[in-house]
Amino acid sequence: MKQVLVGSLFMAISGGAFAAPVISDAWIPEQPPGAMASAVFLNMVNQTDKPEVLVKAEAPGFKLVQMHKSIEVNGMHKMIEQKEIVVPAHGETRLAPGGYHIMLIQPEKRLQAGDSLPVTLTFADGSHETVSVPVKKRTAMSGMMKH
Amino acid sequence: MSHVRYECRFLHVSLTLVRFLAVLALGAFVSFGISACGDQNQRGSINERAVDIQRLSAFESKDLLVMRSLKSPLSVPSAEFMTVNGLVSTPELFKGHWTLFYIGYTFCPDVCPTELTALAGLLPRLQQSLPGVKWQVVFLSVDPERDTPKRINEYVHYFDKQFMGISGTRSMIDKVTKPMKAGYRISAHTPGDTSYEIDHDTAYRLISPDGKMVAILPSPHDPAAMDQALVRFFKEVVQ
Repeated sequence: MKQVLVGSLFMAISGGAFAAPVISDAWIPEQPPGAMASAVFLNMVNQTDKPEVLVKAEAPGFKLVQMHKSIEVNGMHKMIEQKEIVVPAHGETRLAPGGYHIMLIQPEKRLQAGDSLPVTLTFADGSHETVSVPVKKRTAMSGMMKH
Repeated sequence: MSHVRYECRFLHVSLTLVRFLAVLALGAFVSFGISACGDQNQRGSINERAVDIQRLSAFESKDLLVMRSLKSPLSVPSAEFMTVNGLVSTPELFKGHWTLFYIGYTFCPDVCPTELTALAGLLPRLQQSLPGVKWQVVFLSVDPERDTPKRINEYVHYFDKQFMGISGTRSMIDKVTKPMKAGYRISAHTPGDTSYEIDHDTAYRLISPDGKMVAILPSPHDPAAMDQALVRFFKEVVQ
């Protein structure tokens, strides 16, 4: 019921921005106490003939919001800040654990399961959409990376 | 008189001989007993004994993407770390347990929570499939500038109350991470900047009760696959 509500809310908010990609599966892992950073994961589907480019992400209640990509080189994990995240024409880009994510830095208060956060995404064509992203507990499976 | 004296001397000599033989026999018995106990101590319980080097070097992992054993065990150097309950030192920390060791930092938004969640999924599986083994998960923060013992403790306990969080001075951290090749790199930042990132190794390291690293479990970490690999490792190398 909650998911349906969140989904319809999202449809209402983003309904006006036709050019922007379709966002789904958005979630934020609940933060452990003491954690100073968290992440937003979601899926973007581009149904148009032109690439869509995510250039900015914003959320209230954090010192900084950045776009990052986790990569692994010879067993070493690195995070690289991204100025843009491209969604190819008729393609999709997944923000998922171990890959792209929107990094939420230094929260004013701890995010807990059951909360939701409005995250605003701005694209290179000027369109933007706000998604209400639910906070959920991580499970062992949500951590598995796709290879 | 002299006859009596002779008899007495004979008795004394034979008593001495008996005593001597008794001591010899006792000595032999005691030394046999000690060596028997010694063998037992050497084998010891599964949570105390050293890894057999020949069996370790003969072990071949079925899937190197899940587990890589070392051909010879690597001693974790002695170092001192802080926990929320006071100081702990290596290699004493490893005694009486089999340890899964992981490095990271609590500021980490993506990979550390992912890896600690996988460890929290792995631990109950191992406790079920290898019930005689006492497991310990140790998370070493390589970010002592921001990670206080209290913060690390709260952070790891979020994933599993059984996890232990430690940190220490830079020299102590490097003393154990360098020989284990658990690399990390702190990104350049100005003094006072508290939002810097750290690149770091993502493998779990298996450490034996005698404080030796014997295997690496590289990411991505699938609890079911790691459980299988560790059960086979214990069967062929430890038990």
